[in-house]
Amino acid sequence: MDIRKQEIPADIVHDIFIRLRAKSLMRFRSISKNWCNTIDSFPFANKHISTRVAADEEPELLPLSYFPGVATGNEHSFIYDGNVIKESDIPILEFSKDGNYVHNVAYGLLCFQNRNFLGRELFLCNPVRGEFLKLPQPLPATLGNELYYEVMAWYGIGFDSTTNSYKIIQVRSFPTCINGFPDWFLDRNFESQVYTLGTHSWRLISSSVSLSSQVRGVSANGDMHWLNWNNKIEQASITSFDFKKEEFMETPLPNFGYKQHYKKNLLINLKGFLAIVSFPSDQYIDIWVLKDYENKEWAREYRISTQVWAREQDNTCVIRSDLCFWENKNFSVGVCSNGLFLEAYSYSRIFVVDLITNRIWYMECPKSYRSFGRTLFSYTGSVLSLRNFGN
Amino acid sequence: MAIMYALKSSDNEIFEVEQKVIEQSETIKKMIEDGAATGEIPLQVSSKTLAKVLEWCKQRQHKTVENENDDNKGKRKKERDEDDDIKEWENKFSDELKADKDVLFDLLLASNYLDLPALLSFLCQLVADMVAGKMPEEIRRMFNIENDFTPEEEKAITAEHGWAFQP
Repeated sequence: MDIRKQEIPADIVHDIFIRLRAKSLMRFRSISKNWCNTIDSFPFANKHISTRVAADEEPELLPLSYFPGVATGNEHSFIYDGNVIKESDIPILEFSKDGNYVHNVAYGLLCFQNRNFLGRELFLCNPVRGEFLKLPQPLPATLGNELYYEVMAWYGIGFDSTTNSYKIIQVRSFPTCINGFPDWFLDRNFESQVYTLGTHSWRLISSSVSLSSQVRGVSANGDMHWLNWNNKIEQASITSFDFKKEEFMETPLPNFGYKQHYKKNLLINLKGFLAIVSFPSDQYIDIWVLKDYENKEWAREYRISTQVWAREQDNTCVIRSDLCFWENKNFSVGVCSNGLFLEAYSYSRIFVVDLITNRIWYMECPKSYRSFGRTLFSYTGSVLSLRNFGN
Repeated sequence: MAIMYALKSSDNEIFEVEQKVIEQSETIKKMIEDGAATGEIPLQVSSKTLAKVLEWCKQRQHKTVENENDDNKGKRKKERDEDDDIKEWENKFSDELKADKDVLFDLLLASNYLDLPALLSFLCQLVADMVAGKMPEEIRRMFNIENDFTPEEEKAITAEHGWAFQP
């Protein structure tokens, strides 16, 4: 039996394709009409991205400016191959206009806002496809005046596997007003709305929420998660948004087993799982992973010494005995293949927490990596076409 | 005494195999349970491919039995050593398949037909690693696929995402 004359069944081709990077797939679209259709199909794109987030060579690190308007020109993502930090070969964004601000990145999609003199417009972008989708204007605020500059907004991207739909959540908070004037000492008001890709408008969500300022949400297990800090009771919690039920809920924190300043925890998506980077002392960094999302079971997967290592031609050496995460409040974390990137605003270097060697490396960055004033996102390329949701 | 079954390849070669080994195949397991497997079990798989299938099944079976017999003491070290052994075996198995692509594709179809999920997934990963980074023309040759785009269509689809064709 000459098998090669026999066609490989479609489900096997699928099974092979979901293991490939988006770059290979974009190239393989030109093999034949059949292969092109497979790669372009909506169910395939969904299966592919959900498989890829757990792949060894994903995600890539995407540092983007947190100053609106600074992101201009070509933005790159980066990979850490276990030795050096390199520019990725997937194009990210060519910002042609000033005033772009990326709110969040998930499922290979960037959700960003363009602010110009005409107003604010919200977009989704898939860099792999080079496609942009303009989203409808969010509903006007019912609880506060949108003109106050103190209005804060959080955005998240989710996937509802029961309806196979992508959704965007927006949470806004407004200062409480007394006689028309904001009172900064009162609790803020929160309002949230959801937009399902492919529909015409946003929908207000009745489920109530309260988020700490300046905390960007993390997408994991299809839902969004924010690390919350309650100043009054000095307690941390995780607020999650369930995209299936379209309601907020609390995800319990791990039982750390040690006293610590919860405020310093960082939330990440590690290989598709929700995870927490915690700093129990100046000796260690711990990484807790929510292994069982349904039953909310956490496990401490990594404990890494805070010794910082440097690579010098063919040998390695310890350059400092501890990296004082403990003392520093402002850390930004990004996940990439093989490890985590830690950026501290008071340091001008990049620290890579290598999860293969269990070491913290002090790393040189490529020239195109500007480390100042950036937010670190994780990015996994998707072949999803935004044409599925309109032009 | 282990129960043995006789498998007959598409080119009429007989393979004597232990039930435990061959039951990894959901297709054959079902045949045995349904009582359809009396005497020789005829399979639409060539003897060359079937030999490879059984090589895989025996290795997997070996692994499962050893794990069952383990006590917890010193298990981690033993597991690590075993993992290294399995890796080594899998690398050798992969290298042989990479060298003979006909057998590889044959085996891919056989693992699907015999319903061997672990082998299927292993082979899909192997093929994925082989095709990643290759050019469309190489893939067409490898999979024996006809290019049904007109030259204009192909040019357009290539130009659309030119970056993806950079090495």
